[in-house]
Amino acid sequence: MTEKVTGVGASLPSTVGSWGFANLLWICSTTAIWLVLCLGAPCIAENTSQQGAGRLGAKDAARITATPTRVKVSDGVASTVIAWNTGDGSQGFVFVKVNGRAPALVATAPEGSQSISWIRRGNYVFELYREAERRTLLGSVNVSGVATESEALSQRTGLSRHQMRYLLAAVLLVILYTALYLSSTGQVRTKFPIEPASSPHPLHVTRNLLLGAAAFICVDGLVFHTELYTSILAPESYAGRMAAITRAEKNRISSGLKEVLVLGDSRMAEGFSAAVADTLSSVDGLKFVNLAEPASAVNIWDYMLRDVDPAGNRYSAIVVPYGVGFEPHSADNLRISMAAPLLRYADCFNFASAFQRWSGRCRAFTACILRGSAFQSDVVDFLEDPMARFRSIQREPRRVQSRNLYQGRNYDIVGTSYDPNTGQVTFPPRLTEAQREAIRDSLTKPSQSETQDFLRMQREGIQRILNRYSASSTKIVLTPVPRGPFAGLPGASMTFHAVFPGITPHKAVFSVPEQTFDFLEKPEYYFDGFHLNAKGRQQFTETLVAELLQRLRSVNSDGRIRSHSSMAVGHFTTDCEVSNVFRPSSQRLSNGPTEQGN
Amino acid sequence: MLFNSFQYWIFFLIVTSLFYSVPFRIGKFLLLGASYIFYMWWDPRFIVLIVTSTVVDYFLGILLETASGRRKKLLLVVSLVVNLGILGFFKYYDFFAGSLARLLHVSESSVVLQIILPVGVSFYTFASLSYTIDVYWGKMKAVRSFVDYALFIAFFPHLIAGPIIRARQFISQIQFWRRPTAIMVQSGIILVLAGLIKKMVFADRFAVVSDRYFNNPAAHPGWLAAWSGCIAFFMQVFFDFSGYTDIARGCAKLLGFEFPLNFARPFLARNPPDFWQRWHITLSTWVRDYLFMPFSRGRKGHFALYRNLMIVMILVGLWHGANWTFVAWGAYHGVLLIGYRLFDRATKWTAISEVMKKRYFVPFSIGLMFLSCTVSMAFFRPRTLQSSGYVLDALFGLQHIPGEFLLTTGTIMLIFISLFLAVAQERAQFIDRLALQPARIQVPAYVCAFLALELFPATGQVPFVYFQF
Repeated sequence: MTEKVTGVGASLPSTVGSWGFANLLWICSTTAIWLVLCLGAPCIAENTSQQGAGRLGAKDAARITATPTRVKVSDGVASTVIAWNTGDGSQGFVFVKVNGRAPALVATAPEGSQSISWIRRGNYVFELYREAERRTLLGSVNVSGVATESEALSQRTGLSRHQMRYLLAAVLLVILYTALYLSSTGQVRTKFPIEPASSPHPLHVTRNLLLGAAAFICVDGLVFHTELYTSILAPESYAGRMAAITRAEKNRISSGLKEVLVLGDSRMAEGFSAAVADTLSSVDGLKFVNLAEPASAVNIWDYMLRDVDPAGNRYSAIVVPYGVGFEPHSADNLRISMAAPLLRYADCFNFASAFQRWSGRCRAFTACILRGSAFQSDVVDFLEDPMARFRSIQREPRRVQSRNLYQGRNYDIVGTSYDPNTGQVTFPPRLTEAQREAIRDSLTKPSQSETQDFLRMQREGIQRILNRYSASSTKIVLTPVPRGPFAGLPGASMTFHAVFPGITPHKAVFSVPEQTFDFLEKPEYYFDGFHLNAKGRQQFTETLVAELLQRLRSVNSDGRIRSHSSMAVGHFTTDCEVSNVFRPSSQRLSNGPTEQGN
Repeated sequence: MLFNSFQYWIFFLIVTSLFYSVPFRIGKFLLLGASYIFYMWWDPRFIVLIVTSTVVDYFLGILLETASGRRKKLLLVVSLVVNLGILGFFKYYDFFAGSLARLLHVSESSVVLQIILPVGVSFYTFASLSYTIDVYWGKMKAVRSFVDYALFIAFFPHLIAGPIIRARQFISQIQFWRRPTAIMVQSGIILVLAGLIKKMVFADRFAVVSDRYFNNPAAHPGWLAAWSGCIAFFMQVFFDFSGYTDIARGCAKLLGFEFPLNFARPFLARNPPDFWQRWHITLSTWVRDYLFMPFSRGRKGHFALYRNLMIVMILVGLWHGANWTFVAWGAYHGVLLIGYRLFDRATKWTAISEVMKKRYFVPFSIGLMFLSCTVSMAFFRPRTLQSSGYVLDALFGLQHIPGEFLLTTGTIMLIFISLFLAVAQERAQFIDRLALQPARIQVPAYVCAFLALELFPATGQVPFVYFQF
């Protein structure tokens, strides 16, 4: 079956020659393919608002609709969304007839919707039947694929992009033919040689492998540990956003005022307005910077601070939120990917230790050493369509600018009710599915281990931030955040407040009282289960700034803070008990907040 | 413990370190123990089956060597009954019982036992059978050392998904084991890396496209979607299985053993017989040696030949899985083989035959064979013949819509990259010769391999396709 290759040395020149040719062919072809494929951007139909619906008089309850019905085909294909309902819960069969030809089955379900992403120019009739045999027609809808103006123009003037694709595909076929032609020696092979019989020096095997591994780590470092790749991260991705906002803040010229940095996750990003805060604190000469980023966690904020404030004296105060939350283990990859642009080789043990599961720790460790491993999907996306990536990066400054102009969402979830005893949630009809889903998620009680992991991470993360600024005049302000629209209800699952125990006075740390924002825990201030709307954003910002100003004004000239009511000042130690850290709100209400200070 | 998991490599590192730190006479006990642990990692209960099969065939082998006449035949029958009995019961009972129940309009749930398929049963049963049949035919002597025989059956790199090794090839390697040479180690490392890339970068990425199509073909009507789904699945199966085989061969080399070649660039096959010389070689040669040749012995005539071909291919299909779709897949390949032979006979000494032999026609032959194999995926992947019919309808344009092109830029790139690597390998043993190249070629090759494994693996750990067989 196999034969040994002998006389390798003698055949080496010809081998190298064919190698070179094969490689050249390979490089040329793959580059050509890549260019060809990248030339054609994904075909996205322009969505029009019109909606078509088809009914039969006898089957009033059944319906089938298409959105849109008139689809502009801009690049060969486009899409529409078909939605149907048999009305009585019985099985439905959706067929499509293209340009009057025989029907084909598209979907089978009593109700549902499906994106049809293969609409071309022509007439499509979608029909809903009760049976697979197409006896009882319940409804139908016409969808027409029409050429866009640019496509119609290109058809008049010459080759369309679609035709160009076919032309380039033909070129590829020629390359393919040549490659296959060259693969053949004329005869059908019946024997396949395996590896050569001669042997390299044993030490060379190890040397080459080690050299390969070392060179690989160097290449990874060169590409991913420098700005070379992080500057082209997808701006829409978590990692890309993190890299972009950190870069923008690092490069921002100082305002000359006393700057206050606000950190946080999506709750702070939605809930806090730097513009409003600036207006409220203009008399005190403060300038607020909101670096809160959705999906970020406390262990990432420390790395952000290291990048934007390496000397530890750039900000007058840093606002760090604490409190309710949990980190699902399924979010490990997200956290790793998000933190990756900020990680350094030396962070490997520290960053890995923030994860509970060994798989998460291994991935986190690897991401510090081989940062490219955290950008897998980003690299693939980039290679799939590099031009789109560069276009997206060009739009980045506008995106950062729009972040500062963001005013919050001006809708609420008023009318939503929740019964903590039965777990029943009732939604008003106007709420979208995304809002309902977020509300349901917010009411799901996290597992004990996930809560504990979150607490541990929060404790360690905040401690690291405190350590970073221990010798600095920057004040660290710990603030609770509103917990959710139903957190105040007795018996609600989200009835935990964070109070940091084991107080050791710290000259530059103070905390906003934990009940400060309880008044905001109502549906009228939220647009989903987690995030404040524009009204809530205004209220939250006003209250937080007022509390902050009050405390900053009361700070003595030596940097020590004066005691205020309801002040919980924490020195975070790793051995503090979870039970001491979080208490049920019922206890909190009866006992009152811990009042500490000096 | 998948080959593409961190767990496996820790296990392999420990086993290899221990293996080389003791003399081989102890080391083979260690390998046997490690192999059983590896197998029990999947499901400890099924260790009983593999041990039963090993013990029975070990003793039957010794008895077969000295027996003669009817007694010898009887002993062979016992071996066949035990091995095929285990395989038949665990793999095919539910399928045949269910089919019969449907045929007789009896409740299926009353006869089906919902048996869990022991992993690797098809592979070690065939390995075990090859031993007793070879001893019966006098092609090899019975193995006297139980550990040697047990290691041949259970050696962990080939245990779960092959390649199907023969006792003749492997036992002598145990008996005359020598420390691997530098070229073996170098080739082993290259094979392991190549296998991991095939699995994690190529197969798993094609799996995303094929899963998207085959998980709900009705959601993607049209010939474009069907062809992209089938091509993606064909590529997935090849890279998945060939990747597994490469890792298995690489691991075996690192422990000082040689496994036979299992794939030889099947996408460059020009006709059905050529395809089966290149695709799952250890299965096709097993079937040729132990099924087709014995059946065909003494039977003359084309009809007998074609009938035997068809039967053997249907059995090959059934070996892959207990489902009518696999039977159809085998039959389809049978039809291709018979059709090609008929065509070959009809065109012999004609101008057509001459043209087909010309070098410029080779790309067309390869293309046609590739498309024929792609069509076979309509039987291989769907769970029911009805779904296969739907996919076939779509493939041949009977749905009258072009549909959606599911292959992404990345997967098309992978198709072309694999094609050109295959061409380079076919022409110049590109990958095999890498082991002999100087550092200036090897080091960049390692860097590329490591970068590919770092940057391009598909998300999540996808199990190997052939584990289900």
